[in-house]
Amino acid sequence: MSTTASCCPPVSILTATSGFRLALAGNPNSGKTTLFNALTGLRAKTSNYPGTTVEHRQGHFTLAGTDIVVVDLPGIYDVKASSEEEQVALNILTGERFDMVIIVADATNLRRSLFLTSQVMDMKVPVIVALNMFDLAEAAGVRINVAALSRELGCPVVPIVARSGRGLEELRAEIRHRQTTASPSQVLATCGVCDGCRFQSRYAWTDAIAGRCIQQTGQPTHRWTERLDHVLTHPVIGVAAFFAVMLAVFFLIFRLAHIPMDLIDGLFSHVGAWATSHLPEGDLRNLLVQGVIGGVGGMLVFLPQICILFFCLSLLEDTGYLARAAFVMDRLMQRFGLPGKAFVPLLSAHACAIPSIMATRVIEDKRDRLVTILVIPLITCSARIPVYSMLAALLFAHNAWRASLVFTGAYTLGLTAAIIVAFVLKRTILKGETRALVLELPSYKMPSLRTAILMTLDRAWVFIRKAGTVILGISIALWLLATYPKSAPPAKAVVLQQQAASLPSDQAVAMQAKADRLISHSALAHSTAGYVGRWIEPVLRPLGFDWQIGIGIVSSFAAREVIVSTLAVIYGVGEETARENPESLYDSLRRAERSDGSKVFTTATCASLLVFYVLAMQCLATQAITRRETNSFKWPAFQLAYMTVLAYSASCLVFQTLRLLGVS
Amino acid sequence: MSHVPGQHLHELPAGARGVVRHIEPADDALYRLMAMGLCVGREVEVIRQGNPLIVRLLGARVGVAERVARHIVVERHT
Repeated sequence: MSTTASCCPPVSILTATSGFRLALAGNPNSGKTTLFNALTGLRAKTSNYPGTTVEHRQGHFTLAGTDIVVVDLPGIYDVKASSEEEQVALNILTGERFDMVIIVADATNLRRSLFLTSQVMDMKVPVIVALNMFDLAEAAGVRINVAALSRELGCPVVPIVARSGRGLEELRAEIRHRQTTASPSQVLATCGVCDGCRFQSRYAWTDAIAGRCIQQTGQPTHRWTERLDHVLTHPVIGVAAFFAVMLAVFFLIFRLAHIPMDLIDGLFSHVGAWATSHLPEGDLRNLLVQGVIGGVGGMLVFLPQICILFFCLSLLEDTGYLARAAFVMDRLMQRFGLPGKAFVPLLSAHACAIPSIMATRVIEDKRDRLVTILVIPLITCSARIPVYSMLAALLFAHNAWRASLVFTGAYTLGLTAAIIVAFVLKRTILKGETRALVLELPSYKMPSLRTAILMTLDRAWVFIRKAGTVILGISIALWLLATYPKSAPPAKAVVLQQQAASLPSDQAVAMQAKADRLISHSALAHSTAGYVGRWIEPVLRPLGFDWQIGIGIVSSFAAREVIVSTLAVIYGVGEETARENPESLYDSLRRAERSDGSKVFTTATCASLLVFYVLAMQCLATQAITRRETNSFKWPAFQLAYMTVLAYSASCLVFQTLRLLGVS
Repeated sequence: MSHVPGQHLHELPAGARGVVRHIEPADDALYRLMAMGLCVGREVEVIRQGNPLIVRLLGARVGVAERVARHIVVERHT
């Protein structure tokens, strides 16, 4: 047990200093979180245990006038930790001196829950055992003599169904009762005949109790689970079923998300237009419209995808299916040095890297999880699609078949790069054997909508708080870079404006628009972003990029899709036109020429730019989430560094090879 | 180490049941399995063979990597 020994010192995590302190402990899949949600509702807060990335939830509720603080501990099997999560759960349990611990026991598999119960009771805290999923146990023919069990354990035992709320009143009453009369539960006479295995005597004890309190009538097994598992854990059919399930999830994401995404997009452009027409012209207005409103809109537009993804994953997790997904993918993933549990996050990254990085919390081993987080941004996310569309159109203008090949190639390149980098990292800086699979496959059950909704809200809030603030700050900073220093409008634009004044209105509008495009092009070219673009041009030249593409790369540093609108401004199409009619943008990009008359967007440059956008980081929100999930600045910095080096080298290789082959 | 009669868990056919006779000390994952109910003298049943395989422990189904199963010696019921 080397990897997890004392990950972190026990520290106090309770935000409330007074009140009755209650902890929920239990095996994973025992329905702890469902009970937590049923007790506290929306008044809960998720946070990391100090010094770790393990989450725990804290909430409170009122019982007979007393405020009760509840902590939902990570699921544990054993009080001798074999993972960081277990270590944290133990630190909280031992360090916090709770007034009471509720052990959430799975009534359908009481023997195993009793194992943990006996260990928690040894800690000499008052204990209540909540027998969850009592309805499922009854349906499976398990008869539990609750009164006898309570006598044997020497603590109250309350049968509940956390999902429907059955038995919760009795549980609350028992908590209230114990608030005044609480005394540590009876300690077991453990380890009388220990023969080296600390598990043996406890299991003998749980067997004895189970034998006296449980009666099995009728069919003993969960037949539905067996039948379903026969198919879903099959090495071939199981994998196919898994891809079918994930395909359905992606269909939902891309099919449903665009409706709220369009709404958000529309709302923010309306707000922007309103602000433009109601505020006095000037830098403050531009800052508000382009920096703040544009930045917030650009961030919120990803929220629907994130929410749908988390909602689906939570439902799948709750049914018990995700454990099967990890099971069937484990063998394949182990070859690349990752556990099966890493596959769902990697696949989800095709929608968005942010929720995927948050979803890596299911991976037990720290190094396995870190490697997964580090490679996730290489996978093509939906923000890359507008960039790919633009480049596919530039590369193969009128050949849909070839253009779709560009997409396939880009997706494959991203996934392949992720796998290779993971493989390399596991053999170099994050060396270590991948954690072997030992994973409970819980019985299938109906998922809880409430849990899924609460989980989704929780994750959405994390995204807004952590990523949102960064994106807003950066979009203001980028606005400043693209606006200052100010420059005089170009002479050509001034002439156009003067001509427009003396023309009939319909021609004047067109001329005025042309003048505006010239002005914004010139303003950008002479701004700090323009200087940075020119300054880095020598570095970008081996990749086939000129300073104008350089501006595009700089401005899309925080959010890669921004390059499309930046190029629209640089090449004088105007953001509005580019948005409404992308073909007009593609046309002017195709016509764009360097000062020496040669084309800017040659095949070699486009291919190089495509490879660059497949592999480069270009997303600060992801970096902010990596920072949160690794609890250090070192890893996001490393992520940025290796991806930049990778993207630069690969683009350089592509451009130089194509040039040598005479492709222009 | 003295010879312990029986087969390794990954060599048993699906449907086989037996009693765990010996567990060779190994990694963290093995301890997790022990906390789930795999212990010398206790019963285990193979539900699906392969890598990973599925066993029944204390009434629960648990997926286990072959390289963990190799460390577990089981005496099969006849």
